[in-house]
Amino acid sequence: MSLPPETVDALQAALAAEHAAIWAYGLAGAFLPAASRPALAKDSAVHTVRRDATIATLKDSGATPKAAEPGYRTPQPLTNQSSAFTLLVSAEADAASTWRSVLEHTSDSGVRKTALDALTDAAVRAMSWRQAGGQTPATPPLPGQP
Amino acid sequence: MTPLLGRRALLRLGALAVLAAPAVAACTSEPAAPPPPDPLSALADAAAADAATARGLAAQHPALAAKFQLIATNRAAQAVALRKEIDRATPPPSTSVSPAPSTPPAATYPDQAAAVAGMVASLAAAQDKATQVALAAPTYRVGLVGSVVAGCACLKELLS
Repeated sequence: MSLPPETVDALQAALAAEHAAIWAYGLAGAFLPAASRPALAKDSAVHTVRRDATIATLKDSGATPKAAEPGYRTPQPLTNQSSAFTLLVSAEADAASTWRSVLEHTSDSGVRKTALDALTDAAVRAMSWRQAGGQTPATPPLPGQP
Repeated sequence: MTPLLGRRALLRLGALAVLAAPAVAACTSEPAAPPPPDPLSALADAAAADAATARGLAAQHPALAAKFQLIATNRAAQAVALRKEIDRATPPPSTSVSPAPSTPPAATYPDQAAAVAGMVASLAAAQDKATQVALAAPTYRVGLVGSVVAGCACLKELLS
């Protein structure tokens, strides 16, 4: 499947956000209460599936998928439970906005469906982590909107 | 050679042409069909109706007031964003501000359980409708509609 360059670029940005999210989930775990572990494991697994699917789509289109960075900047120093929730919310918000951008850079119906699902999933997970960390409002009206 | 006369004659001809063109058009072609409704209109109306319903429910059910209030706030914001895009794509005919949309009907429910079920069903329907619109929308507005889909999914999750 060949994809236009603007779609490939947007998918690469979404892939980078997925790599960063997987890194964030790995790091946040140490600071979260036991009650958050099941959600952490489940959400991290979803990101792994999404990452692998995005890599496959990019390879199919003839592009070289971006590799993960060795590390990423955190929105604030990761020192406690609160900053761990903030890191997860930020990772999901980044994923939502990059997948929305994929939506805006493709006419391919398959890629569009994937992007819409990924945007929606990330928005719902961001809300769960805001709720777990006691942040309000739990969700913005238009998740993914810059 | 009288250039002035020539110019006058030309102007007269031009004026006649201007007068004649619409007349000819009126005689020979059907009046233009009204533009089809913007697919975003139904989404904006549903968002405004949910906002009105959720405002009422926030007042009636104090235990869930914060959740219904967030639904009211977010669905109202979605309605505003959608109407802004509708007006941008097809500017309202007059230069004045478009008339305030009529107050949408607010649904009422006998008790809290019915209110939650009704609101969840309405948000699920809105999410489905927005998904259909998103999959067919041009790229310049699909981001907005996609964010409405995600926003509805979150509000639905909030109540479950």
